[in-house]
Amino acid sequence: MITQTIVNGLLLGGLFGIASIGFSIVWGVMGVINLAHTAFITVGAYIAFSLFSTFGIDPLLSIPISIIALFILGYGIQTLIINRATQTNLLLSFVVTFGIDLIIINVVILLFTTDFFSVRPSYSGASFEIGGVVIPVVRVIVFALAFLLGLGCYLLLNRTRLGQAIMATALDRDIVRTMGVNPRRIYAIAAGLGAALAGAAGNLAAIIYPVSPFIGLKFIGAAFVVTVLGGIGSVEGCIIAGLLYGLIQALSASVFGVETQEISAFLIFILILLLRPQGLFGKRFFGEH
Amino acid sequence: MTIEIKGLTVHYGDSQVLDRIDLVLPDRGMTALIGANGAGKTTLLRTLMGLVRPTAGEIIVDGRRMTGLDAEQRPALGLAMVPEGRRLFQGLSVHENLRMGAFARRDTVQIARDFERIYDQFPALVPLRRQLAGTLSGGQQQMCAVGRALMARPRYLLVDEMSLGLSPVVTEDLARTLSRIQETDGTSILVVEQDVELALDITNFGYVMETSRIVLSGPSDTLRANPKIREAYLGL
Ligand SMILES: Nc1ncnc2c1ncn2[C@@H]1O[C@H](COP(=O)(O)OP(=O)(O)OP(=O)(O)O)[C@@H](O)[C@H]1O
Ligand SMILES: [Mg+2]
Repeated sequence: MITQTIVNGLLLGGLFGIASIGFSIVWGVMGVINLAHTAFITVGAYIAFSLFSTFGIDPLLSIPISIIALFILGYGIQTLIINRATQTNLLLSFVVTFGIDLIIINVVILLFTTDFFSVRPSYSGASFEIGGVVIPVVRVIVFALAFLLGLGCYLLLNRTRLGQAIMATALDRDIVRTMGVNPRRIYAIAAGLGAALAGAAGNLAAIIYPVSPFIGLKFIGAAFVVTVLGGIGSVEGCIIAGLLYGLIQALSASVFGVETQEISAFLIFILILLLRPQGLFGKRFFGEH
Repeated sequence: MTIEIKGLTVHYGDSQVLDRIDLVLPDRGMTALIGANGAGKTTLLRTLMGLVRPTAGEIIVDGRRMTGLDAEQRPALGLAMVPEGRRLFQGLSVHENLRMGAFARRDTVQIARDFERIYDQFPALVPLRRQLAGTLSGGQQQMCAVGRALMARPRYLLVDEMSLGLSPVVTEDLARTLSRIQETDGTSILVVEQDVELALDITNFGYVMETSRIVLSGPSDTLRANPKIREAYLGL
């Protein structure tokens, strides 16, 4: 029973992690708290749904499409709106991204109404059992893909020339220019990357949850808790904090009832922050602007 | 590489910080820029790098006007700066900082050799390769900052307040490195220095700035002998 709960929590935790990485990167690199992040998740879910329902494309195969589409959307929004509107002014970034969120969600409602849809590939009912613990195949696939995407993102930021430029820009957006880095371009790429990861998370979420204009909202709490818990801008922190978040929610739901799961997660979040304000895996010197 | 500055004027808001600056930074040499606090030396360097937009005047590098050229396009022309206060990427390692210095370059093979060269110049950095730059001592940070600028293989290197807060030994060491780089690579170097003695010692030519204007210039030896300089800057 308890093992089942732990497994459920960890498997979902992978999704919470991947749903938060983009939010964390955008916050860490440009100091923007992107309230439209969950709208990007919603768009990813509808891309999976649309391709599945119209063309019968398997929702796992639509992931690259969601990633590319959302990268373009995030890059475009950053270039056309956020780069112009804000220069790491937190309050302004709230207002602007909240507006973008409203617009996106309303477009989604116009196109798809507020009905609930489901994406059910042939394998969606399949599960296997290990030592009495039932494990749905879909959730394992979602977990594995979430982990791989997180790993890819970690390697991109830490092992590539572009990733290093993103990190350097996060640390000093003025002096990087004297090395040939264009911070506005880096911001657009970081925003595109953040949106792309949100799109992937939404696409994966569509396989597990009913698709509606509110599917992204499931992750708003997770995005904040996981980001701050993992350390703002830390990909590896997000993955681990995501697992922790899933675990806490699942345990709380099974012990105290489903309605307590968000509360418990937030309480533990506040507790950890009181003990360790930089988050569990906060990177030194990052997020000091 | 020659840098010509003509009538350069800079404002921060309403206050004028550079007032019709004219100067020529000669090719293949070390030039000093000295002056009291707040004279505008850092502003002049930042304007050369494109981080500050002038309100009037122009900067001409090897006959090419810099007007309208963004900061991020200037390293490709051979300009690099060791900024005031070092400004290392504190959360990146020493090695990653050096690599960022070479960001605008594509000659991978030569970059690899240049890493070795920097570590040869600054052996103290070798055991610190993987350490976060923000955790280094002041002297180590300055070596890293100079190394990072050199990784760009600049033709003109602008060095701002290199000696600030450093022990004389470390300062001497860094100054010797700059002289060596100047000789072996033919890199032209402009040093902005509080330590006027040192600045006039390692350079051939100097400019003196006072509240937003160039007030004096000449060969470094002549400046050192100048009674005004001796009194105002050398405390003699
Ligand atoms: N970003 C800024 N905004 C407004 N004023 C500024 C700014 N930066 C510098 N100043 C002002 O411009 C003037 C020149 O400053 P600058 O830093 O260029 O002087 P400096 O010669 O490098 O001085 P120091 O020897 O202390 O480094 C000073 O009066 C300073 O207060
Ligand atoms: Mg200065």
